[in-house]
Formats: sequence, C-alpha cells, structure tokens
Amino acid sequence: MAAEVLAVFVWWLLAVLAGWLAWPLCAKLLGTLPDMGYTASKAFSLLLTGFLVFTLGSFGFLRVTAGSVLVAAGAVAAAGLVSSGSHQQQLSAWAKINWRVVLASELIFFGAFVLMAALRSLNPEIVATEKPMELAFLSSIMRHQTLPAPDPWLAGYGISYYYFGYIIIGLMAATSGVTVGIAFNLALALVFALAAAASAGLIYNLVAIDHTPDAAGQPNQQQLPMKVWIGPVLLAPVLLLVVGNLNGLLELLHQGGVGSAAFWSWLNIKWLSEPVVAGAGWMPTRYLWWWQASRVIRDLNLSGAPIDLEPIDEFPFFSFLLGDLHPHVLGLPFLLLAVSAALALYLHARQQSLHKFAVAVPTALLAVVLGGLAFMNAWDFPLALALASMACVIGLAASGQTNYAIWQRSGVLILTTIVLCIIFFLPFYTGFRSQAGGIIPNPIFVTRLSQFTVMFGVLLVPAGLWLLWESTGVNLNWRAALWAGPGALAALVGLCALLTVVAMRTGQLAATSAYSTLLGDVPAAEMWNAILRRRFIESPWTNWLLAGMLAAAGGVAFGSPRRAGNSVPFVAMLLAAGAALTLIPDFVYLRDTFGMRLNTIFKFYYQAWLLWALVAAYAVSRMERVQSTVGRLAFGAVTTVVITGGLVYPALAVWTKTEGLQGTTVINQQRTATLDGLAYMRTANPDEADAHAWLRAQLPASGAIAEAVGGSYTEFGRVSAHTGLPTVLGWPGHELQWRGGFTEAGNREEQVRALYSSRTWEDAQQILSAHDIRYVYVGSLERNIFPAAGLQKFDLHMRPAFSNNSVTIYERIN
Amino acid sequence: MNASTETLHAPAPFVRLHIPLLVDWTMEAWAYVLLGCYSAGTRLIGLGTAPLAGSAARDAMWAWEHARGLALPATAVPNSALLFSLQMLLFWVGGHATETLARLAPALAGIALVFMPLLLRKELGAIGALAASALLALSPSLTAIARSADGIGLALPLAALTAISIWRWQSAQPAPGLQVAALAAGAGLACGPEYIASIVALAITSLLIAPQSLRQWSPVLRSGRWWLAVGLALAASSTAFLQYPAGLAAAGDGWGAWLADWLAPQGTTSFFTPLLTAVLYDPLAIGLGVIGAATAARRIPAARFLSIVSLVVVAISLVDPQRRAIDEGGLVIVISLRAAFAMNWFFAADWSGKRAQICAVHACCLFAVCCILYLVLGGIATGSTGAIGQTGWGLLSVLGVVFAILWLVTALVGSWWDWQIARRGALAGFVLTALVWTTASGSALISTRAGSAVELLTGESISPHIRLLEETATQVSLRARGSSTDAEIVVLGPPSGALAWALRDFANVRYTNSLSATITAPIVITPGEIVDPLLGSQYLGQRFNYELTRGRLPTDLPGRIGYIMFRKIPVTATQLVLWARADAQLLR
Repeated sequence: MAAEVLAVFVWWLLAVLAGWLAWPLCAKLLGTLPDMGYTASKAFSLLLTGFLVFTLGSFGFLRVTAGSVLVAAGAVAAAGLVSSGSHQQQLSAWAKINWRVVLASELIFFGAFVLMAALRSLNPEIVATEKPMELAFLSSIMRHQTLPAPDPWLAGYGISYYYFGYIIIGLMAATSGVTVGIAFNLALALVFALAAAASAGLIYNLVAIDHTPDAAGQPNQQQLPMKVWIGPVLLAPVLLLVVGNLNGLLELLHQGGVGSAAFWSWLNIKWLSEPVVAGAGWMPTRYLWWWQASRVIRDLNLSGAPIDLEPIDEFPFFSFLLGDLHPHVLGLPFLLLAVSAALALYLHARQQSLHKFAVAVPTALLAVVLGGLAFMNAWDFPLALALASMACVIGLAASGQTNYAIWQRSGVLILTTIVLCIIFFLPFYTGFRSQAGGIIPNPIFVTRLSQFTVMFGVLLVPAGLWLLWESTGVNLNWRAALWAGPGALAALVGLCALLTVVAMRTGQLAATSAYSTLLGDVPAAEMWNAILRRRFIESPWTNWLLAGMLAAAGGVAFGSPRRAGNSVPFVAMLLAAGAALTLIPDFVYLRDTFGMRLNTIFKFYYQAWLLWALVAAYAVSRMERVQSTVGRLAFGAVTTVVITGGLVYPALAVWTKTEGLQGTTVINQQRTATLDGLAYMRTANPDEADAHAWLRAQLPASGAIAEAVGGSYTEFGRVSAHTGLPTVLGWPGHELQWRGGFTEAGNREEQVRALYSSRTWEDAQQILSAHDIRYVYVGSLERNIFPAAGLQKFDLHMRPAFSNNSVTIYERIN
Repeated sequence: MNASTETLHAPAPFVRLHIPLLVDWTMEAWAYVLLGCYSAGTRLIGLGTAPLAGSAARDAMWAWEHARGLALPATAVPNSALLFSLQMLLFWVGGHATETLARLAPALAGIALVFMPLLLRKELGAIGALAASALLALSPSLTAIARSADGIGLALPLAALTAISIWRWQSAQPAPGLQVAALAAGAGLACGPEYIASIVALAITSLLIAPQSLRQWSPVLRSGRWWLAVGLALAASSTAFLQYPAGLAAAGDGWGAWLADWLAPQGTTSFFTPLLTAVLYDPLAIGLGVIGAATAARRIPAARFLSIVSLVVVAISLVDPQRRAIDEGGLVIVISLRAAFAMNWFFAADWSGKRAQICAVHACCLFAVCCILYLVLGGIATGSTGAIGQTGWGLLSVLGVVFAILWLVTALVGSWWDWQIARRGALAGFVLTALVWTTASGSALISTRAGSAVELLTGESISPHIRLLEETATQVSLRARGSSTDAEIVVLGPPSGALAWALRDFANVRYTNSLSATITAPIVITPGEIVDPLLGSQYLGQRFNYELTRGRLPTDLPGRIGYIMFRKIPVTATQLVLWARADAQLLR
C-alpha cells in the first residue's frame, strides 16, 4: 500500500514537473491567453514529450524508457529556454501577479488526481469490456519499449490503431517504475486530473477575456478578482467529469415507484420501461443498472422495435467509473488543449495578430497538438481542426477584418498546419490501417427528444438559457443564422437523401444483412412513407431543436455585440459545434464493421458533452451580467436543479460499483484498496497470476506465445494482455476492426486450434516455426477447449519452463 | 568558478636542452614527452589480456555484432553509448574485435587526461601543472580506469575537459572555451551515469562558492547555438554518427540509471571503500593534495575551488548508495590538480647554498626509515616478526616508534638548519616513499588483466586459461570441420557477455537451456559444476578457469596488513568445461 501511495505521489510530481518544464514552450502557442498557457502546460508537456519519443523512437533513436523520457524532456526544456527569450520575464511576472490562478489550478489537479486514484483503488479490476485490449496495448509498449510497438494480439505485426495515449502512459510508467496493473489505474486518475485542470483553465481564460476591454491590449497582464472566476472554474470540471446524465435520476425514480407505466413506456429507455425489480428503498438494485446510463438512446426500426446494436452514449464520468482507458478517454485533456489552441487562434485573429502566430514555432506546436490528437483518438482530429479553423474565421469576423489577404493568410496557416500534422506523424500513418470506409446515410434512426434530453439535459439547460439570453444582447447576423441552422439541416437532409437514393439504386441497401432488420414489419413499398412520418411527425423535435441552436449560435457568433463579452462568439462556436456533432448522426454516419451508427453516436456525443460542459460552465459566469435579479435567481435555481439531478448518477453509481465504498478486490479474504488492476487474480485465479508473473519476469526476447483464441470481450487473449508477449491471434473481431479486413490475421485461428489439437508433432512444429512461437501456454481455458490427447505432445517435445497446479508453460528447446 | 590572477612564486626558468639539428626544447617539454611515454606505456601495455568483464564483454559483443551489420536485440542497451560507438568504429576499421580494441578508447582518453593540466598552466604554474600531470600519469586508480572497457574511462576525461573549458570561458577567455565545453558536455552525456555524477559535483561546488557566477549562464542557456552544439555532439557521439540510432536511448538510460541508483538499496561496497581505495593506491596524490589545500586554499581561488570540489566528491561518495568508481577517480583527478599548489609551495623557497643538499639528505633518511617500516610490516604480515605487531597495540607501538623517528629526524634538520627546508625535506621524503608505492601499484596493475584488480590479489592470471579455451575450440573445429571457426558450439546457459565475447569468432554458437543425448555438436561448453552432462560416452571434457571472484577480507590483523602491503586475498575461480566430441578429440 505504501508503495502505491508513493506511486501516486511520483505520478503527480512528474506531471507537475513536466508542466513547469514545458510552460515556456507552451506559452509560445498559448501565450496570448490570460493564463499564458499555464493550466494547459501539463497536457502539453506530456503530448510533446510523447511526440518526441515516438518520432525519434520510430527511427530507432529512443525507446519507452525513463532514459528516453529524460532525453525528450531535456530537449523540451532546452527548446523552451531558447524560445522564451524576453518571454521569460513575462512568465515570471505573470506567475507573481496571478499566483491564485496557479494555486487554484494546482489544487484542482491534485484534488482530482487523488480523488480518482482513490476511486480506482476501490474498483481497480482490469476485466470485461475493452479493458483487456487497452491492457494489452499498454503491456506490449511497456514490455518491448521499442516503437512502433508490436501488436500484442497479432504476432509479427505492429499495432494498427491510434495508440499514442498508451505510449504517453507507458512513458509515465517507465519513468516511475510501476507495474502495468498500477499504471493502468494511475493513467485514469492522471487523465481525469489533466482534464479537470485543462477545463478549469479554459473557463478561466474565457472569463478573463470577457473582462478585458478591447482597448486594453494583451489580456494576460490583468489580474482578475478571484470571486469573478472561481465559481465557473470549479464548476467546469464538475460538469465535464463528474455529473452524469439524467438516467441516474430516472433509475432512482423508477426504483422508488415514481411515474406511471405509461410514462416509462413513452420514455422507452431500456429496462426502465420494465416493471421495477423488487427491492426496498430508492437505491437501484438491478444488476449493472449503472451501465444503462450509456444506453439511453434507443434506435428503433420502422416497426418501432429496438435494434440489437444499440447506440452507445457514454459520458466522461461513466468512462472513469467503468475504468475504461480507451482512446476517447485518453484524448480528453488533449482535446481540451486543442480547444485552448483554438481560443488562442481566435484571440490572435480578433486582435489582428495572426501574423505573429503564423511563424515557425507556434505553427509547428499547433501541428503537434492537432496531429497528436489524430494519433491519440482519430475521431478528435476533425473536430479540433474544425474548431481551429472556425476560431480563425470568427475571430477575423469579430475584428471586422475585410482585407482579403488576411483571410487568405489564415487559410494558408490552417493548410500548413494540416500538412505538418501529417508530416510530423508520418511514422504512424505508414503503418495504420482503418476500418473506416466512407459514410452511410441514415434515413431511419432519429434520436427522440425525450431521450436526448435525458442524455444532455444537465448541460443543455444552462447552455440553452445562456444562448437565449445572449441572443438578446447581440444584433444577430441573420445570414449566418440561416446558413448555420436551416442551411446545415437542409444540407444534411439533402446528403442523406442523395446517399440513400444512390444506395437503393445500386442495390447496396438491399444487399445489407441489416436491411430486413431496419424495415421490421413494414413492407418495402411503404418504407419512404414510414421514414417521412418518423422524420416529420413522430420525432422531428431533436433535429429542429439542434437546428435552432445552430441558427442562434451562428447569429450570435457572427453578430454585432451590444453587450460586453469578447468570448461570446467563441463559446457560441463551441455550442454550435456540439449541436452539429449531435445532429449529424441523425442523417449520416461513418461506415465501419458495425454497420450501424452506434460508434458514430458514441464518439460524437462524447465530444458534444465536452463542448457543452464548457459552454454550461461559461454560462454560469455570464449570469452575473443579467440585470434582472429574478432572471439571475431563476437561472441559478434551474441550473442548480438540473446539476443536482445530474449528480444523482455519480453518487449512486460509485456506491454500487465500489460495493458501498468497501472495495471490490479481495486478497487473503480481506477487501483491499489497491491500484493494481491485476491484483484480483491472486484470489480469482492464483495459478494464472503466478504464470503471468513468471512470463513478465522473463527477459524480453524474440518469439511469440500461443494461447487459445476466442471472441472479443472474453478472457481469450488474457496471457498476452497481462504480459505484453505477442500472441498468434488475440481477439479476431478487433483485429478485423483495426485492419479493415482479415488479410493479416488469415487463418491463424485455425492454426492455433491445430497447434493445440493435433496429435502430430510435425504439424505442430510447422506452426511453431511459422509464427516464431517461443512459448505454448496451457492453462485451464486451453484444457477445457482442446483435447488432452493433443496437449500431450508438448510434454514430449517441449521443455516445461513453468508449471503449477493448473498452468504449464512450454518453451521450445533451443 | 572565477579565475585567479594571483601571482605565484615562479621558479627559475627551466634549462633548455638543445640537440643540434634535432630539437630545442625546454626540460618542461621533455618532461611532458616522458610523461606521455610513461602514461602510454602504462595504459597500453597488456591491454589485450582476457577476459573482458561481464557487462563490458556484453557491450563489446554488441558493438562487434553491429559493426558486422548484424541486428541487435531490441533491448540491447550498452552501459556507455559513447564507448559503444567508439568500439563499433574501431572494430569496423580494424576488421575484427579484440580486447585491445575494446579497451583502446578509454586508454587513449586516459593518456589525454594526463595532459589536461597543461590547459591550466596559467593558474597552476609551470611546475604545478607538470606535477599534476605526473600525478595523473602515475595514479594507479586512473591507470586502472583507463585500462578498463568502461564508460568511466571516457567520462572522467570529458568531465575534466568540460570543467576546464568552462573555467577558461568564465575567465573572459575567447569563446572557443564555451564551444569546447558544449562539445565535451554533449559527448560526456553519452558516456553514462559517471559523467552526470561529475557534473553534479561541479555544479554543487559552483553553487556553494560563487552562486552569482551562475548568472553568466543565463544567456548561454538561452542560446540556440549552445544547445545545438550539445545536441549534435550528443547525437553524434552516442549514435556513432547515426550508425547506431539506439545509442541515443542508451545515453538517456545512463542518466536514468544515475537517478535510479540513488533510490536503489544500498550496494555491496562499504561506506569508506572509495576513500580507502584512493588512499591505498594514490597516497602520493592524496598527500600532496592535502598539503596543496593547506598551503594555497585560503589565498588562491583556484585552489579553494578544487578543495571544495574534492570535499563535495567525498561527500557524494559517502552518501551514494552504490559507491561507484567515479567517486574515487574523480577525487584523484581533483586532488592531483590541487597537488600542483603543493609543488609550487615546495619550490617557492630559498634554495641558495647547501639547502638543496640538506633537503635531499633529509628526504633520503626519511625514505630509508619508511623502507625499514615496510620491511617490518611485511614481516608482521608473514608472521616472521614473532609476537611483535601481531596485535593492535603492538602495531600501534611499531608505527609510533617509526613516526617518532621520522619526526625526530625532521626536528633535527629543522632546528639545526632551517624549518623551511625541514618541511620541504619531509615533503620530499613523503613524495619519494609514496612515489615508489604508487609506481609499484601501477606496475602491478599493468602486469595483470586490464580492468580488474582481482588478479592483483592472487598473482594468477585468467588470460592464459581463456586463450587456451579459445585455442582448444579452434583446434577441435579444425579437426571436425576443417575450418577454425565453423564448428558448431553448444553452450549450456544463457548467452553471457564474457563467454559470448570469447567465442565471438565462431560462426555457429548456440545457447541452450538444457542438454540431451541428441546433441551432436563437436564442442559443448557447460558450467564447471556439471560433471556428467548426459551427452553420452562420445565426449571428453577439459576444465578451464573462467573468472575469479574475490573472497572476504582477512579478519586478523596480520592478514589485513598483508592485504594492504601485498594485496593478498583468497579468490575462487569459476570454471567452465569444454566437452569435445570423440572424433574431434585432440588426443586422437
């Protein structure tokens, strides 16, 4: 336990030191912001260090080791010193004046880090969902240390996924010397804390910009009274990372018997439309009730029956509660960093100083930030790029710039950044293959307003009220409003219609296996009527709401303000971006192996949550300018009510998930709080735990390990996930997703089956040689699946390098 | 650090040696030539003795494989990236890998280190600089370090060069000082953890003595050119000019290793070992350094700086959990430089009349007494003095008597003639005694395996055994395959660096984790404890000593005296057995 507490401290210290080290360089990118980039410097430093290690590592210069981190950190520090110049005094002066901001930022980071570390320690197990996959990546990176990292689930190949986040975590783990099980959970705490600090910093910047008279020059030379910013700054991380959607409140009410059956049936959220499970009190007792919060949106076919592949509508707190270290979670603080960069661009454009930004260092750093997002969570890159571009546009519009040359220069800046993004991360792109294959029209599935409100109501109420109020303080740009709202809606409708017609004419729609599922009982001839009825009569409200929000936001962003608020156009842009992200999947979605829109909804809604959380926090800061006391009170009351409603989920879910805050890990018949996500195995399967520990202790050497192959989200692939040793084939379904096909995986699954089942040593030897297999793992899973007669040959022809009651690990001789 | 402009009492100019048609050099120049020859001899003779130490052999093996264009394991991380790069280049240029080439770079760097006091001639004075160079040349510690295939052999000279260059720059000398410092720092950062330790000691000293001097560094650290020079030097030296890209990671791992060592549990080396080793092997430098500090530290900033550095190095060696050789080597370098002031003090006296002769006689008397002491101690160690000195009190009595005699002689000289000359006579006598001791230690080091003092402790050498093993394998290969290096060799055990190095020229070496009767290789090598390797009756084995491990220090007083005097200690030999197949046995 003491070692784990020390590990927490070391990780916190490393993050803080990293931030200080890179702050001068971060200030080159974000120096025009009121906080001079301080609050985003930690995330910036980790990303930049990771970029240097990855780039140099791809050419063999560096590895995922503490030493390489030192080299990269040294380079970052040196670059910061060289580029700071006279900036250095500015930074020192700023820190002296704004020590409260520094202190608040550090306290938020520390508090969030410790809080999440404590939560993870009560439920640290790395099991189920996609956690084994994430563990496998991390294990592979930490074991092999070379880049590009080998794919742990397809021996002989590199990882074909956006795994930059795992590299950064691997670097932290290597520097601190923790095991992979501890690194996994500390990573969650670190990402949580980085996102908290970055969101708080963003809101501070937005508030500070609002309080800067236009004629005052650089906003970062002011000292803002603490009472102006502390409330929204503290609220931002809560809205982004702590509150849940209203499903928690609904679960509570449902369990308590509130609401009629008709209401629950109308709401049509899975399990909530069923009669309540018997149990005393208000606490939800249904098994995995907390999981339902990520399945609020239900897609119904034309007959009104729910489809199997239900959309995923996660939100950040759910991810941290689940303990899911997926790229969309890892990317949170870095997406916030990109939003900060967009804000800096907005300020430069507004102050007509984009030429100061469009020089080598800031442009290169912007490219690293944006390009890094593509490598970390590819879904975030288009959004970040769009925000940066729109920030320039809105800023230039707000400055009243009419010089075409300036606009052109901004375009060149964005284009240059895109090119640099690709060049800087070329080693990633050369080995990356994606399952994405274009866009698919969605004429049928529409998000119902009721479910949309359950999902986003906590954030949309304050954000929407703010937009309404802000609209009254601006001479709306009606042209922009029309283009943004109705124009966007019309464009999406047109695109959807066009793609649907093309799909029908070419027979692609009919050829899909989901076609009959989509229609349900509706005859094909009635399809269009059913679609139009759904779109315009049954469930048009969400689309119209979002279109309205887009229109209002567009009008505000490009309007002429009558009320002080330099940040308003930028925040309106964020709100509009969120609206666009949630509107798009109702018309088109990305083609992937799922074939439905569940993954597009998943990623887009997650991003929308982030953007609207920022808007909602900002909205609170703006309410001080409402002249009517009644208005302020009403807003405060409504916002408090919805936020309270949103806090029901985290409170109840944490209680359930941690089994009443007692902890879920049992070691030596005692509940233990531990950060080691693999500690549960000492009780659940001690033989396998010992075997994995033995494998981890073996010096990295060439050769793969053979283990049983099975489906995704199961315990298959557990040996390679826990040890980092590459296996012949892990989860076939995921390899299909990552590589867009089975070309690389081939018939490996059959070969592994043959390896274990065949009674002929020669056949097995061929397979061993073909895949350079060093170890053959025979645990209880393998013994259950494969015949004993096939396993006997290993005793005769291989050396038992490790053996205990239920696991034998055979090693090839010589 | 601040340069000193204090004027030293300079001795009379050296006499010039004029050889018609050849040279017209001063004695000082000739002295440096002689020192160069001596240091070259001590550092280069016997450089090819086998084997290399474990990790040094492993790194050299990797360097050889890389020079041949073979792929290295992904986790191959040499201890010193710079040494690895140099070895790789030397192997590539030389066309083959030998112990001599593996140790050549540190040896040459050690020779260069001897001449570094020349760069401080202005501060140390002509005689002081020469004396410092002599001490560096004679030092057994530095000789041993220079003869090892270890990164420390490069780290120390580079650290000295960095420090001296920075000193030159801060003395308002031209900019090349800074550029040289940048290049030396870049190369030094590729040396391994030892360089970091040296720079940390220098930085701490600067902070203690003259923190305001660090302000001069602010514009330098913000200069892109400085960092570019450091970065390019680091990249070039760690990667052998990009021939070994992973060298940059290895350099970084060296820094990480230095940091990690501070958090690691206590090493096996005891608290005072570095200091005691320095006193045991370098009493001349230690003694002169102490006198130099006593005579000059208060008056001369350079002497003061060197004194503080040596104290910082001692402090670091005391708190360092790992007690590295850098602690001892660095101390010797600094002390040797400080010893220059002792020599300046020695010569800054009135030598008119017969003072020189009196001093010489005084010194010889003291030397003679010390020789008698040596004989007495030797007798105690071998037990031939009977009960005398067999106990602590007895030994103290002997030492007390001897030191009383020494003091009496000095007091006589001082009171009869001149206390100035008496002090200098005592110093000369000490120098004479310590010089003999030091030279003897150095010579002993030369005659044993380079880079390891273990053979010093037994008088035995492993090198002939290793060469015999290699020769035997070659002969068996010739009989079995008709070629000296083509025979298949099976080695039981993991591929250890030292054995892999010894068998580096053989093309078909295979490492296995178990033997069986199906093995038919002409040569099989097993650990010495295996007497029946289950190879069938067709193999015959021959034992070879492979490595020596020192035993525990003697616990009795005569034993400990014997260790100090003669470096005698029990050692155990690790053995290997070479099994030759029946048809390839040399006996047939």
